[in-house]
Amino acid sequence: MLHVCRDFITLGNTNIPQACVYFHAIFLRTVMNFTVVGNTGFNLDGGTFTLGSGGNGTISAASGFTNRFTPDGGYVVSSSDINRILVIKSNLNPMLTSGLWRVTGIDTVSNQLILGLRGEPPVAETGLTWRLHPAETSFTFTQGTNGNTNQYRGRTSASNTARIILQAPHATGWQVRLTYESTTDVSTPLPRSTIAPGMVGDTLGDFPVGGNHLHPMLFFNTSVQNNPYVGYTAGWTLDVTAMLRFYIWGEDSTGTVVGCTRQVDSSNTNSMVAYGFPEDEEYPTDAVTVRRLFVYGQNSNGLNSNILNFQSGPRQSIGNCMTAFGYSGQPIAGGTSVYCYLTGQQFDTDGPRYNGNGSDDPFLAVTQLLTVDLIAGTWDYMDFNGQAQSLFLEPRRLGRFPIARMGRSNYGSWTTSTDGPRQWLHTLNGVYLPWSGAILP
Amino acid sequence: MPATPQPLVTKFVRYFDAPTMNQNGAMFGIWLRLIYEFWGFCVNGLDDLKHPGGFPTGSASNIHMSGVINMPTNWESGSSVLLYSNSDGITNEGMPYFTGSNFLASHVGKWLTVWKSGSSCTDDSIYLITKLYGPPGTTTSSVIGVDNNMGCTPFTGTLKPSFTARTNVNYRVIDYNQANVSYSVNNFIVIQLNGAPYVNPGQRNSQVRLRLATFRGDNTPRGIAIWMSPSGSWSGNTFNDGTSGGNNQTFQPNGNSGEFGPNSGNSFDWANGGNGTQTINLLGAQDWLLCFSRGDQASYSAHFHVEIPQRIYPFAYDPNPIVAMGSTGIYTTFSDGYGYGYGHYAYGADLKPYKHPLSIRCQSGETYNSNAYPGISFVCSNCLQSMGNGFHNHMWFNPFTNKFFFSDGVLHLAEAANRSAILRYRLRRTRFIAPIIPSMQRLGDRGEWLHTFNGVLWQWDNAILPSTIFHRGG
Repeated sequence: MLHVCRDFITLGNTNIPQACVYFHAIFLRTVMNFTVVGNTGFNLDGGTFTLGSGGNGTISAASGFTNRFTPDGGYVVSSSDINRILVIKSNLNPMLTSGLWRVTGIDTVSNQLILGLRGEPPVAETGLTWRLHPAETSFTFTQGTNGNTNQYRGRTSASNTARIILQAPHATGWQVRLTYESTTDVSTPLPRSTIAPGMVGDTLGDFPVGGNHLHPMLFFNTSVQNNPYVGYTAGWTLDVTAMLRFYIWGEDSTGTVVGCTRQVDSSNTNSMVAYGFPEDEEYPTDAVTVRRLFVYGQNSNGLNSNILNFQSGPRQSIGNCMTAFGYSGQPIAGGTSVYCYLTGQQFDTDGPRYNGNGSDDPFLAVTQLLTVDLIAGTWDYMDFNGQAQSLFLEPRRLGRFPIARMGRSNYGSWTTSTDGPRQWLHTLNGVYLPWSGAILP
Repeated sequence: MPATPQPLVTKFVRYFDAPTMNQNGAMFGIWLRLIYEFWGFCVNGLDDLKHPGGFPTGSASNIHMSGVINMPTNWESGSSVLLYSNSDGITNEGMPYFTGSNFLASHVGKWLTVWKSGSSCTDDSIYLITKLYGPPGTTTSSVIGVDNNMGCTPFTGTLKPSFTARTNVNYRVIDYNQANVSYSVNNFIVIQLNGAPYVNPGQRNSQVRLRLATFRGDNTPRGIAIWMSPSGSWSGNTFNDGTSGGNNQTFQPNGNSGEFGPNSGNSFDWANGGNGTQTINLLGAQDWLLCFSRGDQASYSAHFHVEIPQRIYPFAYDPNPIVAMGSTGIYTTFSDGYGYGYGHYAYGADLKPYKHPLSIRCQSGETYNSNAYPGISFVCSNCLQSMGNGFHNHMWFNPFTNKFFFSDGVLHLAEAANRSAILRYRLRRTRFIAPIIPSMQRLGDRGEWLHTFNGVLWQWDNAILPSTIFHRGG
């Protein structure tokens, strides 16, 4: 079942990398039913980060707005709840009610939280799973090194870098590590906040060095500028304090997630991440789970902009990377494979997606959407500073890019399809994602 | 994996070293003569030794419609063309010889058309008769030797083309020297693709007129003009389904003519426009036909390809997909209306033919960008054909799975806003890879693709030949 967190905006200027880790973690925990494997400095299930929870919350209307949430389990609302984040999982209205909601007020008489509406409201219903979390501005993730020069600094108990590993409710038990990376590692460079699917995480929130996971810097235990393994540890956006809008899609049977950020002003950037399993995997399914996993996201810290896109490549020329695990027994770099012209290609400006004549199809009178494939093992370097031929080339189709689809880029940005239920949202650059109902401009 | 329906099983004339042609347009006339035999009997043959299948049908007494074949007199089955035919053929598993009746010494050096109605066997092909079995001085025999490599079936284990065990095999002995007659630009054949509904449910049997043509306004055929009828509407002298076109001599691929063929500019004829010999390759099933040729006198090759592609749109919007391409050489580089890169034509919503650029899955992301591939010299505009240089060759071969990586091709329509289709058709009979491997390399889990040139893969049956099928180059 596909759940959507619709347009959740930060509480004013916020530490954006911290918000990325935090928002995805709380989405995974409640909406996707992930469990916490381990953490350092981010005890999500503890009292600091989980202020209330229940399994029978109720959405109702008042004064014409469906924006009231009644918690169960004896939780008593208070003025302290204002600005906190309520995460709801709805199995009846997963694309309208599930997601993150900002508490903008309380009703102590009815013991209700009043939710801030941004576009389509949630649907009145009961039986909702929920957790209440503090506002993203109410804490600060720590970051610090383990002191091991030239090694990846954000591991072992010697490092207080905030990180968490959560496990998907999937038979394979795959996990994902979300990390607020240390400044030293970020300088190598590395995105400030990273995403790494993998297996067998520990209670510190670490995967083993050389283990089955998609965090190359941790895998190779290296953090040296211009080293061969730079540029394909995936993460988020610019390392700034700013205001940002978040959209998250999650498929709760596999745990696969796609997330977008949308800039409010030019101090930050639009971006996209995705992680988990591809759709339409190659048959037969690989018996080694880590070889089924992928992560897609930004490949450096603040180098590129306008990266809400289907791109992949070295960090100094292309903003995003797609990382998977190879038969070579290590993380490998690949591509988000779209159809491109057999001849006459122009970098990023041509191809079917960017054709200036793009319009609704003359036969169908609708905008066509195409699938995007995930191809692993097609880049032999990802830093573009002379480390060519450092990674394994072992091309292999993993499957289809999950949830998102590709279409013409000249459809209106951040607008929905015009069919009745408005089933698709065009974000930017021909990246379309499932939608339902209205959207704020 | 379900078995391929018989109409969709590809058959081959892997190569055909044609006799010398020196009459007006005969270098292309023999293309159509060979197609007539291969399409009408090997691919679509009935148990009728004189009347081919795979053409618009008429009455029972006139098995193909009058006006379907407009060729010189006696071109089809005149007594000097069709030397002998029978249905008593026998072939044996793994054997190189063909058993029939009444073969003559004079048949040596002529060609044998072999088929069984409704058969999926790739023995259905055309063979050069190489010898008459029997004692020295034998002038008649029931057993002949043929060049098995022209057709046949990959033998288990060796994959060398050999016959399979069959009886009651139909055959015709043909003298293609008799195709060396004078042709005009009004000569044509109309073929019917009876496999279309097996590709796309509900599709009509689309038809294609293949006409000898020129753009120069004279009467010397210099190529093949292709006119497609999605609904299969040949009436005896034209198509009636609204596809604009006709017997004009101009080629305006994006204009009003329904035909296309020799390049629309004034700079090229198709190869083989003069006199001489040539090697022709035919591949086809009832849903597609590919004809390739290169002649001794030509500095480049020429070919055309007609295919029922995979329908993308619902039946109601696009009931009868069909595409075709004509090109000089096997290239992916050109972006001006011919070749695999931009040479496929299909009808738009207005039933006019438009060229459709072809796209493939880019395994590294979205583009082959020269900045991102240091050391690679892009001889064209960052196209796949230019890829392949040392270490980067491994982008197309996985040493762990021992598999090549190649892509299907899809067609777009992008010339104007009111004709834009980001994905119109998916081609089924070609694939594409960077040219990192030699010609004749077999690819796919079952060797179902063959690298020709410049990264273009044709459908194949895993056969291993002692030589290239391109005897005169690509």
